[in-house]
Amino acid sequence: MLTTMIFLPVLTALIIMMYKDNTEIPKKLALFTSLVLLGMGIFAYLGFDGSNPDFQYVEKLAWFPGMGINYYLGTDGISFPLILLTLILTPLVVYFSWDQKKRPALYFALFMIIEAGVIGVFSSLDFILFFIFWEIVLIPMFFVIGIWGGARKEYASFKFLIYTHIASLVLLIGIFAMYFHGAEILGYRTFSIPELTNAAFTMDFQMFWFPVLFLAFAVKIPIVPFHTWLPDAHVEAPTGGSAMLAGVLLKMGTYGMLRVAYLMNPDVTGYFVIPVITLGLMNVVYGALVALKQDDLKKMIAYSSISHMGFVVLGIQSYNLYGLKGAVFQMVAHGLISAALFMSCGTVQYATGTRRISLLQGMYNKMPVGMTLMIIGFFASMGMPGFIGFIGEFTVLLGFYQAYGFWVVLLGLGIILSVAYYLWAFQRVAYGHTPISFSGVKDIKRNEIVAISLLLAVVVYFGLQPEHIFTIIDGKVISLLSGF
Amino acid sequence: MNSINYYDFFFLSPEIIFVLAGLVLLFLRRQKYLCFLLIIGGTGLSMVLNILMFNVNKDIIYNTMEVSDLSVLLRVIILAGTLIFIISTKEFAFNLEYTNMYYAFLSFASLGMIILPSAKDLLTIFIAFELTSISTYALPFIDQKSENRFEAGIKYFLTGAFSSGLILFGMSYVFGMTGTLNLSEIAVNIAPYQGSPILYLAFMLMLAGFSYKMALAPFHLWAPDTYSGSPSPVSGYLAGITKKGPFVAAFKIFLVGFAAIKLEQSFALGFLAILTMTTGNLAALVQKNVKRMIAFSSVANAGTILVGFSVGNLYGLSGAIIHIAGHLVMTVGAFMVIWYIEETRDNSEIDSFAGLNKSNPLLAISMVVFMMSLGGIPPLLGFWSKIVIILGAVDAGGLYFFLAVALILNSALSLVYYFRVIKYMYMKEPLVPENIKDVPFAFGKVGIGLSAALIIVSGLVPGKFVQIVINAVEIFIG
Amino acid sequence: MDCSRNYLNRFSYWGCLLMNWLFLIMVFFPSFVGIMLLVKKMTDRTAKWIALTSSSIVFLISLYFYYMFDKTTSSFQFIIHVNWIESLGSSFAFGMDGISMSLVLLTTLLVVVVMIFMDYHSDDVKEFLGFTLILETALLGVFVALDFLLFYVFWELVLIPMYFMILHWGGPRRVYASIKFFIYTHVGSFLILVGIIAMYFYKGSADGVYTLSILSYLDYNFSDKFQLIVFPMIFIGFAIKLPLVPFHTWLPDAHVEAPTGGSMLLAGVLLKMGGYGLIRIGFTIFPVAVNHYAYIMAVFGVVSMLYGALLALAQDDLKKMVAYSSVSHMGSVVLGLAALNINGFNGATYQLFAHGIISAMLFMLCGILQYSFKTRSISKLGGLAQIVPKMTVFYVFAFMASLGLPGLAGFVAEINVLMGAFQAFKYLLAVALVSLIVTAGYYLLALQKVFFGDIKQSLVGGEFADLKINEKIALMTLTVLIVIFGLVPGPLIELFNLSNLEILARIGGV
Repeated sequence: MLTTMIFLPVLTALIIMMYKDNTEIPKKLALFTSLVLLGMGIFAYLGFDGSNPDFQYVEKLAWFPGMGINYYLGTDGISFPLILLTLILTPLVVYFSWDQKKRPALYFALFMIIEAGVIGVFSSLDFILFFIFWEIVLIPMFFVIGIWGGARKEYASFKFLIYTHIASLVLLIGIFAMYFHGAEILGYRTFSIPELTNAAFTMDFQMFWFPVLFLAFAVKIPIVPFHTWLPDAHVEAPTGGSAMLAGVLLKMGTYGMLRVAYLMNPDVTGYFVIPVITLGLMNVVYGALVALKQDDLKKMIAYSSISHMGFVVLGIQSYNLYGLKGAVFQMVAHGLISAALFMSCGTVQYATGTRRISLLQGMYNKMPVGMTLMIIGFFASMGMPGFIGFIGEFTVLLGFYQAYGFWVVLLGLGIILSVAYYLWAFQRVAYGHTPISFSGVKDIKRNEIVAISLLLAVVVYFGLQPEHIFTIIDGKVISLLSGF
Repeated sequence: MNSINYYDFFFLSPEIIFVLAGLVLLFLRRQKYLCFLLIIGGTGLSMVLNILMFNVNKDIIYNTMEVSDLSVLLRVIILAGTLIFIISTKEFAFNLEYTNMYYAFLSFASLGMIILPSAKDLLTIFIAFELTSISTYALPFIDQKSENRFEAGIKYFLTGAFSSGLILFGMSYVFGMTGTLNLSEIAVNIAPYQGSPILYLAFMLMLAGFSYKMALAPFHLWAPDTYSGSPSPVSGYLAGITKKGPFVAAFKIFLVGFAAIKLEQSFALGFLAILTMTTGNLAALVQKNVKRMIAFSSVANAGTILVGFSVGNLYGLSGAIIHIAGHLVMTVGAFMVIWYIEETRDNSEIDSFAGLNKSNPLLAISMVVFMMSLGGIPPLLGFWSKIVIILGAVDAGGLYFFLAVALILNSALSLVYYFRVIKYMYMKEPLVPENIKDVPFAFGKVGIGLSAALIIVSGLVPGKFVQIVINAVEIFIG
Repeated sequence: MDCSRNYLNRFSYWGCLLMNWLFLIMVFFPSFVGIMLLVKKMTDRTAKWIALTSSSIVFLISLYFYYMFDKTTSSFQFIIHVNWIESLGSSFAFGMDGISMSLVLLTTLLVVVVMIFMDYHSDDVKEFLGFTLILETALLGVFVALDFLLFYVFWELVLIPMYFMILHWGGPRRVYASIKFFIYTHVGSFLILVGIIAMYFYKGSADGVYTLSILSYLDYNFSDKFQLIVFPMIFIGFAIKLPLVPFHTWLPDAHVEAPTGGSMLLAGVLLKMGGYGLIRIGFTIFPVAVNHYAYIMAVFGVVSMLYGALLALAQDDLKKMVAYSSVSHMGSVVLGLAALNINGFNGATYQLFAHGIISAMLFMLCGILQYSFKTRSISKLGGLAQIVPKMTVFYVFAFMASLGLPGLAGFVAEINVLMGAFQAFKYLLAVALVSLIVTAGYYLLALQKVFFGDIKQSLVGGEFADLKINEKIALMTLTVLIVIFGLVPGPLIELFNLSNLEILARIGGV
């Protein structure tokens, strides 16, 4: 199942590349494959046993037995929601980009590869395999930013590549350290994530390597002050790329942080409460403050991503039932919502040619549907109840309160600020007199409406029925915590 | 042991093939195709014969040479690289006036190259080494269209001769101390001299000599000039293949012969490694000319290989050897792409690469493979070699850890310029078609495709190859 | 839907099922219609009729519930309980006691009045009606939710339509006012949320049942220390909504900028959410803290009354004056509650209802005046009795009702509050009385300046419309109700008396 999910898109990408100058076939193929995958995902969801904390849909093949490297895939309550997130987002992003005129074959092929890579990251149970997928995801994203990006695309794509690459190399060192340390404890060498997780590393080891691993993943999430690549990447990336970047790629960071930094070094997390909480709060508050002063709509959303990813970090650091559950849920929530937001932002840019809030005015008169979808997305993102974002934030707040008590009030700052920047931006963009230069602006296109509305429908559906996601997560998280 | 027995000739057959081929080639002035077939056949046959020698592990010819898994492996790697190189330079060679001389030089250089991994005493090493050097001194001059060939060739020749002298000087001290040329005997006899200045002097002299040959910073300055001045295929050969000779030689001499001062040499090598990687990458970063950039990048990659030698444990050495193999193929491939660009667009400035994916998508994708592999992006061969080296460094722990960090930072740094090439190929508008000439490049494409395929396949299925290397190194270390 | 769980086995299985569905229809039907109005294309006229019909249906349903309501018990009735988010201990739970019932009636009634009043004289009437109907669902949800999460969902959902009403149909400074409204109340919401979370874990870790069901907290005894810490947080959260001085600054802005229909619901119902929350969550769950902080709360209440009244006195804008009078009246709600006796409680809950209909009438009149005269500035108006006599009649009546003229609804509320306060805090009452005098002062002054005396020079010769038929119907409805509830307060008091007594029993008041 998982192997098919990874290699079917790769195969599709190869086929797509053959239709170099065709504008029709690539997108149809990409949409078809991603829908097939989504179907498989739903099938897998129905067969997924949420109460079982073990890895499911496991596939294991010897790959490089001499060094203990295996082709080892599987998914559990932490990774499966994220796989579903990827499967849901990709067809929508593909459909959103339906009118891609510039090198469509390459564009859709790259998105297929991103999908494959991300699913690979979430389902790898072998560190080397994990790392390979981790790195592979960078490459198509680099191209997506670099080819279809905005004015400073080259700078942004390089910054993205180098920042995240350095971090992944740090991760690599950490992986090796765990490999050798695990070998001492287990008596044999293996890169298997489940086996190393069960190896119970010594305290000294954890004390040294937890921060290293934390930092390695921090760049990807990104945690302030390692975040500077993100706004650049987002601002320059094309809309589809931004949606994937914020929707899925950032989740790789938090997923890795949870899976590797925390679950493998669970004994020392208590020693790092103050630095981690400080960083997380900084993310939440600093991201929100910077978002408040942005004039670029997309940059504002990018900073809001930083702010919301802070919630995930805080949830993980709480390390209790609600914290972990909330963190995973918030990853899914933020993935769906931020993708919708970036799409909305893309429609504004497409329609008006600018994203400058100070230039846009009275857009509601010109694009009522677009603005409506946008404000719904904003409401979802600011954590209004009834949307998926609220459940995520609420659960994280629960976890944070359980762990750290009334410090939770500090998180409120981020929540309140998010209301401020979203509404303020919306009012400036949607209200007022439409400038004459925008008199020819048309409302958003049909495929954009469909993609965004479907996404928002998912956001609302899971906002009202979060139990569908919680049932997958619960079993795993409870079993994780029962050991303590 | 004291006689050459019948089997020794079998073990020498790869060498003998090259001697014969080289001699015959000297006389085939007109028959270019025959030359081509002869050298291909010779190299191929030699490679096949070598493969047959796996799992033999014995010393031959009065202990001056050995047939070990490691040496056979290195030979096969070198010969495979040479084979790809010969295939892809077919068009280049046929444009030359003295095609047969070119192939003859390659033949003799290959002879030296395959003796090196087997050599067991200083003299053999030196002879093999000089054989390669002297055969290649002429290569930068071989294409008479090339403008900078004199600077390139003269620099290469002078540093080559000078460094040979240094090495010989160092060897003479070693001989003086130990009274033997055999590496394993040297290792035993040298032990009492531990701490003596003479030993260090000898080591330093040889290290300096080899540093020149390997183009390690700060002895690397000739290399970019030579590589960028020579015709690109020749640069590929010099940077990709013959430069691996000194690595093999230094590897044998230092690790076997100078095992007594392992710590000091490890420190020295590690220091040089960091210096070389950093200098090479920083210099490559600012190049606008891709050929020069790759020249500097191969300086940096020498540093990467050296990290493995410096670490010196199972994974470190294995990683270094895998990197030797990987870098060989990648460099040859990259220089061939550069040559094609030069031929069609008159220069190898990075602007000339703009929009390559439009005109030659397969070349572009191959170049992407080379660049990514050089940058260590998984799952390509370059990723695995770096992984194994880092694995070794982390395994060794202590100060070696910083070597791993340095390697990682450099690897990230190098991505900048590798991806710059990719950026130009994919993200820039192509040149106007009138400015692009058409040249025959069928074999070149085959060779490039072969290199790229090798890198991808060995990257996707690394288990077999890496395991062979590790096993061979394990036998070597004992 | 599980009818065996129904707390009141007054109904047969099918009867219970029917009541459950009716209940859900009452809560959710308006928002369905509202969304339909927003999405579908239709003329304003059709839209108005659809909206009026559907809100009337909802009002009739709520009347039916009032009819079925068992006034002899204090417990919750018409309970619906469906599993929802089990992993957070949250369920889809609704139910009403007397206090909720009265506020549900108020909401459904006022929405109908708004629908009658809404004319075609503004832009995008269809959308306005749509938002109003969505707002109705949210308000009803707040008053009937029996699960903290559900409560919070509706609580926040209220903000969205109100935000758009102010933003889209508001006055010149609507952009500022709408965001201020949103952020202020959101801060309050967050404090409440933290309080809920704290309760959740306190109870959960004590008895192992992690649940968000409000019912299971109503008789749970939190430790004194916990109550003393958490109650102020929740109190401030609700006080912002109420609003209580000094958390009131969003209200005048929101009111001044809001369109008339929005103001009517804002003052008529939204403010009541604060009072309702205070009673339902604050006073019921934190008896110790309530006793401890009673005096402070009373001071807050009295200060609100006086300060609101004084500011109202100083206003030149008629609508702003009414807005500050709302602050003043809501202060009396807190004073009544803080008295912790049955008079105070009944007075406060009665005030919620009475102020709801009276202030709706006031804001409606302000809107009509504004529409006719294009200004609300007291100094620019004068002698209106001669120009628009019918409007003047209603103005006089409404002002009298608001200042607490005996025989009208407001009087019943205030006299109860004052009696309660007299029992509890003797001297504070003096301040409250001063504020009543000031209230009388500003209303009478405004009457005199605006309606009596000579016609302002600038108004002479102008053509000014008097009341239209739909306005008359709307105003008459409210007038009749104000009179009825002023003369016959019994049924309403009977509705929530028992619930109030039970809460007081927990608190230890009389």
